[in-house]
Amino acid sequence: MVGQSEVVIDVEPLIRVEGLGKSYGDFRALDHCSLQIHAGEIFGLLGPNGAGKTTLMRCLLGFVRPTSGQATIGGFDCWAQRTEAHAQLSYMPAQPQLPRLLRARDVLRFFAEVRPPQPPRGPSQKNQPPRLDSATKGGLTNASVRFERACQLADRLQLDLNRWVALMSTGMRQKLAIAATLCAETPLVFLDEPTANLDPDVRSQLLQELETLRANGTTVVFSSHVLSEIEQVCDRVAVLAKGKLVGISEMRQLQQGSVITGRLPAGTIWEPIGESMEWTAPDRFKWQSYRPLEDVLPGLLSLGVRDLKIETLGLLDVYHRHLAYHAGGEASDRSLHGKDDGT
Amino acid sequence: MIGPLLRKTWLETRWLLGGCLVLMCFFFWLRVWLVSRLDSGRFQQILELLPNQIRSLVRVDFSFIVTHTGRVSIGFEEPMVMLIMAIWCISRGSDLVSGELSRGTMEMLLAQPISRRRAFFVPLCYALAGVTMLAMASLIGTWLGVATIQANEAYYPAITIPLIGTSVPIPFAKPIEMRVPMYELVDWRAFWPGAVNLFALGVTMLGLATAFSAYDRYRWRAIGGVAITLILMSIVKVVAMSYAPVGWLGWLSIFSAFEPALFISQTSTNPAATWRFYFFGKGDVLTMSHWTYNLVLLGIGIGLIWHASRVFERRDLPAPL
Repeated sequence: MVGQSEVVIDVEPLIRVEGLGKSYGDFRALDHCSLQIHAGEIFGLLGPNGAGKTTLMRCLLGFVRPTSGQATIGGFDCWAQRTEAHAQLSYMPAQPQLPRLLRARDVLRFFAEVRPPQPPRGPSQKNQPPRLDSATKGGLTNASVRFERACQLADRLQLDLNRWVALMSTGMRQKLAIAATLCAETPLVFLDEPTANLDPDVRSQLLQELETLRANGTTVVFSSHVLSEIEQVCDRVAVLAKGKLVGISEMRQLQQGSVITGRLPAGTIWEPIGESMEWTAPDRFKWQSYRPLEDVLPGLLSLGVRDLKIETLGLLDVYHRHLAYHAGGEASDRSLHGKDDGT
Repeated sequence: MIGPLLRKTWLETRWLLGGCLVLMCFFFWLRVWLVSRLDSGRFQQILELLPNQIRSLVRVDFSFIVTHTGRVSIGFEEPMVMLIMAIWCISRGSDLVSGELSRGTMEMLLAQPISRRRAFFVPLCYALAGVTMLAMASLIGTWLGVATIQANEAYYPAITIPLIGTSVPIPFAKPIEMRVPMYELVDWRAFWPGAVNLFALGVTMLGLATAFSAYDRYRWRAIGGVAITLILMSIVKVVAMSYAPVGWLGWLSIFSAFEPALFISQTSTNPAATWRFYFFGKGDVLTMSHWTYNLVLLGIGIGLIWHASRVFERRDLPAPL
């Protein structure tokens, strides 16, 4: 939902997904999904197991061919022009597997050298200024600089670069994959459950790296089951269930959201526009608001509210309400939903 | 982008390639050594004892097989040679798609700005280079053997008939044992048609393994599929050669086109067979030369590789398990 004070972004989104669907036989893994992700956003993907998060990512990465709809990254079609699209992005899968018969250093060298000097600019990026890469020298990204950066990152993650990948633990391989992924400094990064096997220290280090990416203007698509992480780093979050996109919420709004309960004098007629209001008894209400409390409370107090109770609305509540709404259960907050095009 | 891919493939497979090359080289050296140990006369006696059914399986003239060159050329048809080539081709071919998929390494690889075609063809070219090196290793092993080994040869003392000047061996005399360098008995350059035929077979096996790999996500299943296909083809060849009414079955086996000893004998005895697709052999019968057979093998191999690349470029990549 776009807030009133928000400036409407008038640039082409970095990722555009329109009616994307993917079926495996009769099973619909992804069903008419539409969303847009703008440059510089950290976008979270949430959903229960089998919701379609990975399928959506795999469609965007050109690993699977959509059965309907279209997805573009930087204007490049994710299936037909996937190589060009890949030049814009780096990706770390949920359980990264790296060549086992190589040493960690060789793996980092491979990922540093395999990229072209400078990613091609997509049709939707022609009018945008070139993105400055810290490893850019004279207009070309130097592979050796990229490798150096990967080594520095690996060093920060306390990784032994002389060790064979086959002899690494799952967590160490995850760290190596993080270093290999982030060394590219691409405009777009896909991270599929990146903190799954990491110890708390490295997890917080990674979240710090994400903050650095945000500061550099990198777009991150982040999938995780850990809601606190999503809450901490994401600007927007999409919830998927049974292959459908059931809601997109802005984290900033969620953070100022609250559930307000109380009693109003009998006969009071009051209906806040565009927000979820529920009368649990003739004089008792439950209101889910995403406005700042300082805007809400004076009005309520003027109506003579009693037994006022305010609870902060967390991502878990939103997540559950989205899923419940999709399942056809209790009434959900429609205001959480973005427009159909996901803006 | 090709360089890093080649380097990665090399680092992953160097021990396998090195092992196969050393084994191939050593086997051919050993083969020459074994030939040098066995007396030609005794070898001829052994061949004459073979029943006709077995003789029908050998397409090479026995007069050629009893020579040192002929006996060394049989080495190209040894199961060990085919096994080494099969190990390399099946391991590399199956690894191209299903191997990377089953290990889960394909995802991070293809998330890089590398086209699927490149991710397919760079390791494939490396595998083809390996096939070439293995075929060359067979020649190098033979050359090493010929250059370093001496053969035991028994000569009967001969008497020279006066006036005519002809020498006649005395059969009842005690033979004279002599050590003769193999390079005086064998010219290693005569074996190149065998090495070329081995290369062509390698390309076909690689194509077959690649095709199985392109369709599957499990490497063990791709390896199983290729292994069963190759075993069935070798059985088909034996059946086709043993029983004339089903000789047409030979067309169904790639091993029907793998006859290195025959091709070595053809080029050794008939220079017309060296650079032609066909020639007139014994009794002026039109005979296909080794080039025709090799082209068939290469055509099948390249066709399978092309098909595998098309499948790989269009298929969905399943998520790792």
